[in-house]
Amino acid sequence: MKKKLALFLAGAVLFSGLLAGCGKSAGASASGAQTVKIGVLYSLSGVTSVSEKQLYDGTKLAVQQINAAGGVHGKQIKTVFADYASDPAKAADKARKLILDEKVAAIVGTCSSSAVRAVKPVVEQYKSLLVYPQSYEGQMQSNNIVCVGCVPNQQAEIFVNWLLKNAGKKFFLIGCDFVYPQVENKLAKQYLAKGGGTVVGEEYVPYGSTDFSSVLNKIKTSNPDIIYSELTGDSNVAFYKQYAAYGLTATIASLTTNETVLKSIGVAAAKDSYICVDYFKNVKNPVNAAFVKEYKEKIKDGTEPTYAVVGGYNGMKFLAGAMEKAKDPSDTQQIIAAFKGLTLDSPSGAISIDPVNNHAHLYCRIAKVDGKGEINVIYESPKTIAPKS
Amino acid sequence: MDSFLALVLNGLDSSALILIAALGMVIICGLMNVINLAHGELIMIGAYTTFYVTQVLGYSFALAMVAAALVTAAAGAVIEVVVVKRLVGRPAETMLATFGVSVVLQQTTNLMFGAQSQYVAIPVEGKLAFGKVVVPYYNIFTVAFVAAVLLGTVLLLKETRFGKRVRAISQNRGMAECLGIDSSLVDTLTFAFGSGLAGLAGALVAPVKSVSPFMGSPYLVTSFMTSVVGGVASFFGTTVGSLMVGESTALIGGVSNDVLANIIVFLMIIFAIRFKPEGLFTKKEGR
Repeated sequence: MKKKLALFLAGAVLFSGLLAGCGKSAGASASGAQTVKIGVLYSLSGVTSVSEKQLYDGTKLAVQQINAAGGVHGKQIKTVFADYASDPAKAADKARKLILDEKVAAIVGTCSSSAVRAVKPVVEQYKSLLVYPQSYEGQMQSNNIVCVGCVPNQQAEIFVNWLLKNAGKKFFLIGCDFVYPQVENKLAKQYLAKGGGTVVGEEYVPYGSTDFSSVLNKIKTSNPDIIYSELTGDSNVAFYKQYAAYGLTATIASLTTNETVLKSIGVAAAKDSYICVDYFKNVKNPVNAAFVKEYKEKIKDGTEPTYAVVGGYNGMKFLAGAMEKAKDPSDTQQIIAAFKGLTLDSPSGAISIDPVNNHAHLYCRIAKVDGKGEINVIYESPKTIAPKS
Repeated sequence: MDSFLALVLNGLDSSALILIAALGMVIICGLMNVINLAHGELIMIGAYTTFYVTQVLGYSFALAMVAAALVTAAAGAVIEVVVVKRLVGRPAETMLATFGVSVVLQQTTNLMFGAQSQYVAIPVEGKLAFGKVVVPYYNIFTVAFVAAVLLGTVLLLKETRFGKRVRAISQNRGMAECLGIDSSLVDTLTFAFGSGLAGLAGALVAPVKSVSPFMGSPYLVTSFMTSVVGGVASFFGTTVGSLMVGESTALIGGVSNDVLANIIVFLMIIFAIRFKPEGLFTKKEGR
């Protein structure tokens, strides 16, 4: 009797597995009549999940807005979410699954430079499209990747020159040990050499490390004016806190800090530091006013709208614009072609996609954190800056 | 000379944090022979409790530390009763089950609080500066507190009745049960005690590191390495192990950089385990 039961259960499991498999392949064909499938590839766990949650919130908000307004060509956008747990190898794997199994028209996603570079060969091999929403170190150009975040000539170059004029000449460069900080620091050294600044130190900590005691010692001995930082995630938060505990006087200038990170750091540690990104919550334009209002209504988890949220948002909005411009919104090649020169009235201003290198024309903004821990925008580029990939 | 002293003092602070994180694991692994892969998440629970008590409820850091120890001890007791007790004598299954617990804890915290890092105010501000050396007062507090906890733990296990029962069970469970010791209850209390220590470690790191759902994994790795190198059942060994790891990382990091320091320290650990697999300091086993 037991044997028969076991056999029956095994058969039932196999049969349902078969059914599920069949159902999946039938439904995962080219988008149905009423929907277009878009892949969304972010991490909900692991080291980069804090930043990716922000990108994801922005993308989700954009999809809700687009679908509420009727979708693209009358079709609703159906998102297929894949979580790659901060592992670049998994990102490539999930991207492949999205393209081949789910047959998405395009993917919006990835965050760290390691992840996007791992996904690049996959989207190029299968001639798909990835919209990359995060600012990064540049030096990556692909017909199959559209980057809507800032690259060094829109961020670091302006920041370094502004700091040299207004904050000091001796720089200590610091970042986590992977491609993004290494390339950014290499470029920073070039900008400093041209602008008359000096590099008194350059340190890389293990990715995700939160112990900065030896680095802070080196900073103390080399006595810089500016600590130029591309630290991200937990390392970034821990660095500000320990910097405050050690009572150093150099000014921190960050390419990555945002409003939500500032809440984790606390006023004492973040006071008087500088940040340079393309968007801050208090940018003044009507699109941003509406955007911040909607963010506060829809997302009530104690976070703020940051440049990462806006990156995820703009990426999805640009994609919808390209899909609308294309004749068939589920034809990836048409969407890729439609990106050239595409414009968008975004929370960070009126921006556009460059017709040649698949990157975005963006504004550059520099802010100082005041004594109350609030962000004051002290510089805004008069118009958008063309990206040099 | 000044910066050498600074490096040594920094290393002392790192060693203290490594020690208190590893102490809980030594008790659970050494005395109970249980490999608890949710150890990092117990530290995380301690850190989040500290955040909740100081920032949300507004109480003092001292109260937060007590709360962190108690809440994490309670969590540990629950894990022991629900998961570990059913898998006594099966280390592979225990590892798998506690790994599952760790994932559940991470994602639950993520859902409850969000993935962003939470702010915990540093309770002792200011620094001591002499010559070129800077030592934050919080570092001094950390080292003193960990030393006190170490002393308290050793005394608890050597002098109190509870401690003697724990040691009796770890040496010869059958005989201890014959003598009337409720081994099941003592197991739960031991696990809870080890977890409470992990909670204290979480409370200590909360103001100076990052409090996020996935903060636990690095601590798990370091605690494991330290307790294995030092000798899993020996507190003296674990203390020496933490000093080794903490000071080496600080000194090598000070001379070259942190990435190289990590590599060299791990190579050192591999060497030590290769030539002394039972750890640098072990009790002679009489069987």
